[in-house]
Amino acid sequence: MPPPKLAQKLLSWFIKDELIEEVLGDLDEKFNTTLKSKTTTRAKLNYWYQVLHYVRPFAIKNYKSNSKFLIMYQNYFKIHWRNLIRNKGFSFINIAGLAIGMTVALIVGIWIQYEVSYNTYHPENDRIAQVYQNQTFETEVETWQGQALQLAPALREDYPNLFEIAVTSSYNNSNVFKAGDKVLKKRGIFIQDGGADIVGIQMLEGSIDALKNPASILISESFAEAFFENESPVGQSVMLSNEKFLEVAGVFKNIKGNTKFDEIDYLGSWGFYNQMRDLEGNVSWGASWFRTFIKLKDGVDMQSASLAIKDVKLRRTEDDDKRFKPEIFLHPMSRWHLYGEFTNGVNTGGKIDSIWLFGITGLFVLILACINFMNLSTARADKRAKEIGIRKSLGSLKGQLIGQYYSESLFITTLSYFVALLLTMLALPYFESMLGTELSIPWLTPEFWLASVGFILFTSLLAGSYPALMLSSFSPIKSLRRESSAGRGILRRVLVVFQFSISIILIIGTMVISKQIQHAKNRPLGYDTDGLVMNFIQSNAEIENYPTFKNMVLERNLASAMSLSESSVYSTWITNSGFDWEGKTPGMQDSFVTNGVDFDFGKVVSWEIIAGRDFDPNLASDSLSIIINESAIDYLGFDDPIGKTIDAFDGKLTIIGVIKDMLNQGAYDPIKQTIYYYDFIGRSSVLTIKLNPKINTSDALAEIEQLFKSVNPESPFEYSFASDRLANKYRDEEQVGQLATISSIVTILISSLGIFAMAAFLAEKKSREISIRKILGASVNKIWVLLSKEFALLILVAGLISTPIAYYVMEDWLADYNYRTDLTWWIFGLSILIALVITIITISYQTIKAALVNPVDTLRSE
Amino acid sequence: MKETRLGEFEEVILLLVGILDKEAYAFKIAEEFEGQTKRSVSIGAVHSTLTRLAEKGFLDSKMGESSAERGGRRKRIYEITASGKRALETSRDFKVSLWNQFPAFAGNKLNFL
Repeated sequence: MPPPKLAQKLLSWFIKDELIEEVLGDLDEKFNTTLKSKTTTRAKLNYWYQVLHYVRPFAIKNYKSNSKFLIMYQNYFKIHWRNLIRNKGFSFINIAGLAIGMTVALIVGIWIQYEVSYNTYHPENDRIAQVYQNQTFETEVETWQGQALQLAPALREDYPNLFEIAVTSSYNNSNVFKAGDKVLKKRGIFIQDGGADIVGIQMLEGSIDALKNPASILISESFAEAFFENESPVGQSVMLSNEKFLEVAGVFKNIKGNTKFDEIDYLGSWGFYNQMRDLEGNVSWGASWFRTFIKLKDGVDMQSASLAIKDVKLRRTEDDDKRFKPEIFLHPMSRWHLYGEFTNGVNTGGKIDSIWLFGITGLFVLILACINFMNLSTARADKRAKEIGIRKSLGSLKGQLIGQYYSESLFITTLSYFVALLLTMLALPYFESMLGTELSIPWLTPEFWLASVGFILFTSLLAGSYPALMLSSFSPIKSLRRESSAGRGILRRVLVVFQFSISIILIIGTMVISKQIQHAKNRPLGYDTDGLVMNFIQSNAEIENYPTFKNMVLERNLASAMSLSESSVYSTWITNSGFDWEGKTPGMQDSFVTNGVDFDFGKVVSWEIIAGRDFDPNLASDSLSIIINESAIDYLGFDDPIGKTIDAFDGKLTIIGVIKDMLNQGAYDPIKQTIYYYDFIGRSSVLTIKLNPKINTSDALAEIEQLFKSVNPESPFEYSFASDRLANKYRDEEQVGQLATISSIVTILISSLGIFAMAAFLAEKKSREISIRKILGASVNKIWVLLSKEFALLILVAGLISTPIAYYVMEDWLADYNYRTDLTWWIFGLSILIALVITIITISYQTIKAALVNPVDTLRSE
Repeated sequence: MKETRLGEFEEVILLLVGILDKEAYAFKIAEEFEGQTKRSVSIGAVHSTLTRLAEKGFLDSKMGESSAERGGRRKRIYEITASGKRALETSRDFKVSLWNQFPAFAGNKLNFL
């Protein structure tokens, strides 16, 4: 019985030649001895065991010593290193440029990865969807996520083959909880049985079935920690809104990060919500106040299910709602985050647009950095020509030279990548706070390192291909005879123009975006946010105690006025329809923004009455009066609106005043017809306070909070400033603006680095020409102009190319905004000027240095 | 300067080389080790230690004869050098001196020689 062949082969492959004989002999002996006492299989296994135990440093071949392949690459590496050290300036620019470019690409990559992974935490995210509806108003289709209470049961009944789960859920809102002496606001939802599966919670303690019981609640880890610290939360009770005790039935893992259900700290049962709000039987199909989620049965296609349920509401709803032609459809979980926008009933993208925008920007920045590498390598070709000539004469094939230059770009790229990782680490916290997301380098995932290797290879191919092909094709005779091989550099000029075109486009973009933001910020508000503070009402007790609280604050002169209203002044999203007035076009589907206010609202927000008068608390009849905004005059079609009446809210309301339009919705939206009515229904949910300007804000707020607590001991006082809230409206655009600013700075930096090195190269190449010109009487000035002229020309060409592109792109960007700024010519002129000035300053260091050199120094060496 | 102290495993291997005398080659030493200590060991581990001991100058080696059991391949026979012997003695003396300082045995002096 011979020992296993394969093991022997393996052994002779890795073991040192001088050891083969004795080791094979020993192992044979061992094998034969083993055979005597054990089975053949055991003996063979043991042989393998012995072979593998010879993988030790003393026994294995020294590959370094006898591989030509490796020697070759060692030599390449040595040459790369020497080149790097000899030309420190060029190397620095090469590595710095590439590192900056790679940093941008890396950050963009990490961010895109984060955004794309939204909602993928749920293992069955491909089967989950939210139900949306399209409704047609006049000619426009509006898309809502709001649904009627009746929809989920209807889906369950009518399509038992499609849906495994169909549930109604409340919106994500905050409620006040109390346990022991702790009172805290927590965000969460109330959802029907099965909802826990939709949200995808992972239970740590207790049972997921708790949502069947109206008196139970599931809470998150952080909720549990906040209230119960070290005690076990299950079985404890918490009081909701000072009204009702709920029993904690389970604790789930915190839902954090990139999900729609972020920051949900509790799941309440629908049964409880139903009782509390007294919903069942009281809300019709017309009340789209809730959200509906579904989970498809296994194997059901999302799209066909979406088409199948189109008419479910139209079929079931009463006649009145039919006129809006409701169409029901599914919005899959995988698209919630990136494709959240609908125009006229069609999904038109959303966040995905920014992903494309910044993905492309990141790629361009990387390309610009690679262009630097290309330009520097080819510009310095003359210096490498001799090396290439010698290598070729000694028998290097073209393919091997290509390999050498690729390995050089791989070497530089790898170095740059590690610098880029460092820069990314430093820059990431800044981007985190800017984007409001949690970004991190996933050091520990193999995917990251795999992607890194791919990224390095891609970048080195992008940067190294052109130099590798160009340099390797030099003729050895010409290069050894010192004929110039660098070419006329047309491609280099094209590449520089390309770099600066991109830079100028980004500068223009940055300016347009900041102009648009400024334009929006300068938009007349129609109210005054100075010292305006809001607190959102949490319980009925707060409304009952409001008069007492108000008197206390006003008596102490802490505030100049105070008001309760249905919506806040800056964010009034409630619309109502079905109003009637004299002269209304028959069949018109009217719609008004409405805000129920008290008599002091106008005084608090300082609105501007342009006709008629403000509410008068001394006139009892004013409880049936309304104030409209300017936009409403046209909408209603009144010439003189004062004294006219509107049938609304089951009453006849008289218009007593008209105010100047107030910005109460999106910062870029047109201002809609708005009605301010005296809130006789009792829908107040916002407390607005105008602080006394004579008292220090924080002192006043501290005192007001104390008074509030003394009147409402069970409620927290959580205020926010109207000006802060208003600033949030510009947040998206400011983010884009900041990112555009950073990209344009980075691109101009990279391009300048490149042009700085190019200028150095040019000055060196022309050093003899410069010296001769100086001897013949040229001034430093003239030489500076001579050297700068060419670059200035390139920038102007870049400006000509980039202007129409930037115009087209920014016009397209602005088209999305209703309230928008105009593109003016000076933006384009200024951008080109900026690029030009930066370039001239950058190259002047080199050109002036070249012009100041004593001609003797350069000419002597001939 | 090479490390000249002996590890436990090294010391045992060195002693086994002495015991086996003309039969001291990797396979036999491994067998003997397993037989005497009831611990299993791979030939590779023994071979590696033998090489290290040879580098320290405690062992010498030369190629011996072949046999049918070895598929006609020769074996490498190891032999203790003078400095190997010295190292073993130093190691033993050191341990004896430690034993002699052990209070429990203080009255009853050990003497292995």
